[in-house]
Amino acid sequence: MDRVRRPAAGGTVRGILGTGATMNNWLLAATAVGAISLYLMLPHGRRRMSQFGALLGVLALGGGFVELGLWLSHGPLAAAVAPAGIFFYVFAAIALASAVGVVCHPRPIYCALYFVLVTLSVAALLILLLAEFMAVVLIVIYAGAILVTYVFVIMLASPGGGIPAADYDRVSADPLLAVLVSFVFLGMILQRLFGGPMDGFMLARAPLASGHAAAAGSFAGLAALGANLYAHYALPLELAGILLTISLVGAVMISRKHEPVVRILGAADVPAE
Amino acid sequence: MNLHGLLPEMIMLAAAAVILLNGLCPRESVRRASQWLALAGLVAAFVAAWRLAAPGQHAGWPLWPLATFGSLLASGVGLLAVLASWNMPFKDQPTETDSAYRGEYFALLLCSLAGLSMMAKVNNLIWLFLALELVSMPTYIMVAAGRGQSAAQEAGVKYFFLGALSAAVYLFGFSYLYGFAGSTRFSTIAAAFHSALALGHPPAIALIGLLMVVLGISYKIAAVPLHYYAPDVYQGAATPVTAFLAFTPKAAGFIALILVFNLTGWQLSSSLAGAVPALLMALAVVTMFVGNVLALLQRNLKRILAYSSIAHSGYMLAALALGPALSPEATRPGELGGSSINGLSALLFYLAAYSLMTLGAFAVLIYLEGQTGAAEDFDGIAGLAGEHPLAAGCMAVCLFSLIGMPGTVGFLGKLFIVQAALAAHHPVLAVIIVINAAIAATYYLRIVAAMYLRAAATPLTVRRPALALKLSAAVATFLVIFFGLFPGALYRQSVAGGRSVPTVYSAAHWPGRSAKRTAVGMPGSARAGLWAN
Amino acid sequence: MTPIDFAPLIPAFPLAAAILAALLSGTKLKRAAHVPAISGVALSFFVALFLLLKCQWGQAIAGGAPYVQSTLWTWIAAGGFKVSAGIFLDPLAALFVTFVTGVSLLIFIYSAGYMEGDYGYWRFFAYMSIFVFFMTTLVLANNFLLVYLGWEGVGLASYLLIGYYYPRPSARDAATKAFITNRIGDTCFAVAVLMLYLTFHSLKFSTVFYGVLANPAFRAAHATALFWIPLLLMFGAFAKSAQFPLHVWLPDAMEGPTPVSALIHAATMVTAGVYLIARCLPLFLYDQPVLHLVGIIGCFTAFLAATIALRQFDMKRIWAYSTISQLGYMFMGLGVAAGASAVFHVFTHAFFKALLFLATGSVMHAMGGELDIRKMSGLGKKMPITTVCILTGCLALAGFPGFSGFFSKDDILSAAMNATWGLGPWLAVIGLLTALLTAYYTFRVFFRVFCGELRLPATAGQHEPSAFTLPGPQDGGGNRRGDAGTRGHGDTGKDEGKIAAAGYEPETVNQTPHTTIHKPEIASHYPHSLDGAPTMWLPLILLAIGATCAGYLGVFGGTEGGWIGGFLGRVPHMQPAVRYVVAPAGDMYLPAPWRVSPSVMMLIGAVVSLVGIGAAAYWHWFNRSAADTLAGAVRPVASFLENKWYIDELYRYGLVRPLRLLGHVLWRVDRWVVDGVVGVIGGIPRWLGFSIRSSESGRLRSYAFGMVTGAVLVLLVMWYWLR
Repeated sequence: MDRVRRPAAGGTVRGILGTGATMNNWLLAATAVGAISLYLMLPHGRRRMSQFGALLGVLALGGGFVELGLWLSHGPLAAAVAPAGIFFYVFAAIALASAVGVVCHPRPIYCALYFVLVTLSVAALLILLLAEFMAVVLIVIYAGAILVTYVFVIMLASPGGGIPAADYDRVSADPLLAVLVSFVFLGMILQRLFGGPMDGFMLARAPLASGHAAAAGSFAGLAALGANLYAHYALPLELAGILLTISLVGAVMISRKHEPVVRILGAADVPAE
Repeated sequence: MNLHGLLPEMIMLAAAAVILLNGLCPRESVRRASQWLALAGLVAAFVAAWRLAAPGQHAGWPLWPLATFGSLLASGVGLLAVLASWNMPFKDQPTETDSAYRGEYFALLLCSLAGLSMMAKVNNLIWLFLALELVSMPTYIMVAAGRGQSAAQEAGVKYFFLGALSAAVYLFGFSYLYGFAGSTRFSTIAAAFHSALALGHPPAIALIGLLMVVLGISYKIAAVPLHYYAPDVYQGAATPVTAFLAFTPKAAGFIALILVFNLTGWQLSSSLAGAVPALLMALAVVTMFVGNVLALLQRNLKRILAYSSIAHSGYMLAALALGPALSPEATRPGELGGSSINGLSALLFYLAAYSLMTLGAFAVLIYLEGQTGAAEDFDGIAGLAGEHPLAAGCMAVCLFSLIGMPGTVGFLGKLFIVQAALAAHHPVLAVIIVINAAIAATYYLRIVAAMYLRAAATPLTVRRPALALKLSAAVATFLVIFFGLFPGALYRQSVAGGRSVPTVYSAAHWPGRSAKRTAVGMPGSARAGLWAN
Repeated sequence: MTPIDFAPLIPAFPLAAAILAALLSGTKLKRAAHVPAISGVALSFFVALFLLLKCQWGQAIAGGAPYVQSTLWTWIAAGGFKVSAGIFLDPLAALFVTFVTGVSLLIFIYSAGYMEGDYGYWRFFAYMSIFVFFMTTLVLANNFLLVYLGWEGVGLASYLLIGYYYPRPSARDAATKAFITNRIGDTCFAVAVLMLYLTFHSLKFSTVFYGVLANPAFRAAHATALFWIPLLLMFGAFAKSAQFPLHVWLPDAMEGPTPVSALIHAATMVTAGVYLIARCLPLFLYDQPVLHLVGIIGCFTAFLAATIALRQFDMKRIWAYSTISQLGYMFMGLGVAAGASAVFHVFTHAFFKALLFLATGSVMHAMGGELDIRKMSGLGKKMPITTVCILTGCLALAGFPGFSGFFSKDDILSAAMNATWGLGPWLAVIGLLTALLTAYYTFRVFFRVFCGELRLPATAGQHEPSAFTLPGPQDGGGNRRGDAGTRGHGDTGKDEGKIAAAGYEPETVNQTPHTTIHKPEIASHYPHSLDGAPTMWLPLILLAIGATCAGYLGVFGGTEGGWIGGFLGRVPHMQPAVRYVVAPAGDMYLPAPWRVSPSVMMLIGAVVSLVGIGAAAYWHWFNRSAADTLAGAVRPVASFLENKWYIDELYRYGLVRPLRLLGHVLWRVDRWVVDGVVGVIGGIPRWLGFSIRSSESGRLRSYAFGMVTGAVLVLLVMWYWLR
């Protein structure tokens, strides 16, 4: 049972910013500040307080990262995290900031571009984890395929220049509740994972370690992936193929041009048999 | 399990492929063969599943009875669903002689059933995800394309987006489970849970993952808190699609939930994780109440049946919460009161019962749409008994079964759940189920009353519905009564399925992968209560 | 295949016929609903006959066991409680099922003519077939639960058929009365079944009767249960077989079409009770107080019903009371442990009672629905076939020597006379007195209606007005388009309250001139015989032959009790009972000495019957005015009898009114107290619904938000829970 290691220190790992406060409290505080900042940055339509919100957000992000970094450097995962170094924080910050941009920007096209940024930075994080295949796939699928479609749709659907954006783009609906719910969720997850005696990372097997092993050679990971996919996951692969075929059929079915016929269901059609 | 075990699914998918190609044929007469091909495929799949259900097949696969139950359910009820949607999809325009999408529709239907059929045969999170989506993806399309009408499009969009959201939720859970165990294989995850539980309590990441999975899958079964979509989607979709929705994703969701909880070895009461079954029970109770209470206020029949489907999910969640443990009294022979049925068996029985009775009720609604225009509210069915006594009779029987009247299969379904609840010493749960059945009787009886006691609001114009449609209503009604009086075959299958789920973790229960780590011997007496030990 | 493998076909055919007849409802073949019904019963009858003959020849019943049984399928398996549907066949069941299907077959054939053109033709035959299905199920079942199924089914079918003319309030009331009265018995039976299961841990006949019951230690251990079970079974049987005090439904049951009355009285319904007790006789034999109670109540009912029949004027009603009376004889026979004699009487009674009812139906058909014996006379000349047939039936019922009723009734009486039980001879004496009354009232009907000068009611020759004059779908071709249905089949034309007010009614009614049609006019009015279609009189002739000859089966062909006695004697507890009585020690079958030889009893019986017939001939044929004088002389008695011993009134004032009063009080309580509470409780779900309805806005965004919020709430709850 050596896989299930108890943390060496046991108990709570104290953060640097306070002698009495445990780490998770600081992380929770950062989450709360982040929530407030996001709320302020969301488009309200009336008064813009996004600068103040952005400032708060930077503070929250910085504080959270410092706390996290200190905590991780002492924890059992220090060895696993170490190689990433400063790049982890950089890309994580970019990812988070552009995610805020996705949610907050009033122009859909910019939201889409921010999403590209999110995808790219997450791909960078994946490369840091030596999952280069995942990174490439992420970029190809999201940044490449899906985003291009999005941009096309948005360009075709949105009105021409000069006309202000629609209400539902300019003003977010129920920003307070939305922020509340999502950050309660976030805080809860953080609390469960990082709070207490580091239960969250009492993993049965460290997945990071396996990632290292798989990706020892440059493209060995990819080869192993392929071999694995076709040797052990042949059936799921087939299923995925079926699923994609179905989606294709569905797309054709739904998108075919219908002549606009207004009618009441059942009133007009006599079943064939 | 070798590929032979997947024979029913392969038959269904092959039939789907054939139908898809057949549907491309420009000649209408050829396209009309789609339903027949679907029927033939399902019959073949049913026969295959029946042969696989014979004792001794895949003896090394402990969940095999559950798996074959899923296959039998999918192909058997699927047959009725095909009959009920004989005229699907509705034509876009009156001028069309036949819908262009006939082939696609039945191919999608078969794919969805194949997903349900293979649900209990999966042994990997990835596979589980794909199977769940194989069930759902075709239904999204069927809802959107079922009838060329804005209501259907709206329903389809709602269903798809919210479905994607729920998929995101449970995928998130899957990723945590993977993060916890380091593998997507069920055997490894179960072993990880087992060792973690043996040490005291499972880590938070595992519990969060588990909860997210449960919450995400509760979309498929239309349980609180992911039930919101059901009424709108049920109402907006073409009625045959609604009938299909009421049963296929639900059955798949419940089987998936059984598999997920099986990862924990149903051993969650020893530690702080003991709250999980209690949570399930609480969700079950809330689901029942929300479904029944909101159904009271509806006037649209499809919305009523949608809310009732939520309520029935509540009953089944209660059965799931009771878990696979048999009560110690069960082994005592000759006692009338002794329950020999565990929660999961009750769940499986109820699933089959619910499928039949709800399909029967929807089939009558479809029949009336063919007959009288959209018979969607009380006025539409008022005085039905006078003009279409057989249709009204079928509807009444199915509704009585949904209420749980003795003599119908719905009664036995509720009886078994209540029995299991009592045997597991949860009398309050049993009482709540009975109270909910009483609330539900109100709105079901209002439908019956409208059919039998009111005069027709508008003269019901008579058209000629497909024989297959009448057949599906009649067969479903017959089976509701037949299994109500002679539950033997269904009972045996469900008990076998429910009992095949192990109550105690053992490495032997996870074949297919060599379980290198032998389990630490858990004290494994099957005890009633919140998931033994 | 052994013969018993064919037995399931007996109930299966009528069931299939019922389904077929129901399926015909929507088609042009609606008028042919009798074809499946008659063929179904006919096939059943042939299978039954085949089984009966096989049984007699000892092929089916081989070796030691006095029965054969087969399990068809597992019916209910819930935990340790397992019941399988199966067949139990012994001479008793074989004999019962044979005459049930045989007599039913004739009734069905008759009905095809009788009901022709009726609005609910297919419905009638579907119900009739289902009636026979349940009855044969009841008789052939191998366990009590299946018997119970048949028992309830028979009750249901009788309800449907008695209320067949449901537009008529009287028919609905009669159906309800029959159903409710039967429910009392059914409940008793159900409790008995539960107790049987708790006592024997099985419901199978083979286990209950041929198992531990013979063990004195077992009986001692379960003495209480073994007292209550027969008692409850007895009440069940009494309700179904219309014995005092649960007999009140049967006379009203003739609200149904006449063939239904024939079926209920002769073949299916009322004999079920006799069958049940005959089947369960082992239980009774070990519990003699209850057995004796059966005998006493049977004897009393026989007498009671016979006296009531003396002063009734409606032909069907008289036959109804005679049925109750004859059933009383049967229970008397069972009460003195003479199972074979009782079953013998059921057997002969089936023939002559079916005959009487069907012949009465013919009269009714010809008289346009009129059945008052005071309004018609001398029909013998116009309806020769019917008259001969009904004469046969009357002779059999009156116990005229040489006819079937004579032998079977005497069998019971001599069994009672020779019973080891001290009260037995007294029962026999009352039985003889009843036989005298029976002969009198039977021939009162015969002489009044079929002899003397010809007089017909005004309605004669018309078709009875249909009960179905509801606006709406008319079946077009029907020939019953009468005026608003005031009188139809089986309309008794009597108002209970009116009689009670008048005290008694004179035997001879002064007819208003236009209702009496004298001889010269008849020829022009009715040039042809009034006997009706061949489908109607052919069954009558066959039944008449049966009513004449059936009795000889109990005389010849065997040493004791004739062929029937010998045949039934293969069942241990059905052995000719006079010689085998229960010993207190528990050894069931001990020979007992004769007290009065059967031949002497037979002689007495013959004399009694002849005296009764003679009296009837004097008062109702030769000197009809004397009957009125006599009735006037014993006015209070006549009034008492006419009002049926005031039992209905007793029920009304002793039971129905107080219950209604109680109901009214409770209703008030319910209205003001309970409804208030219920209103509040019932309002809660609606109120809840209103309060959470706003969550269903129809907007995708709010749904997604609701889902996420719900999920987060759940996680939040868990978060605190998990700490």
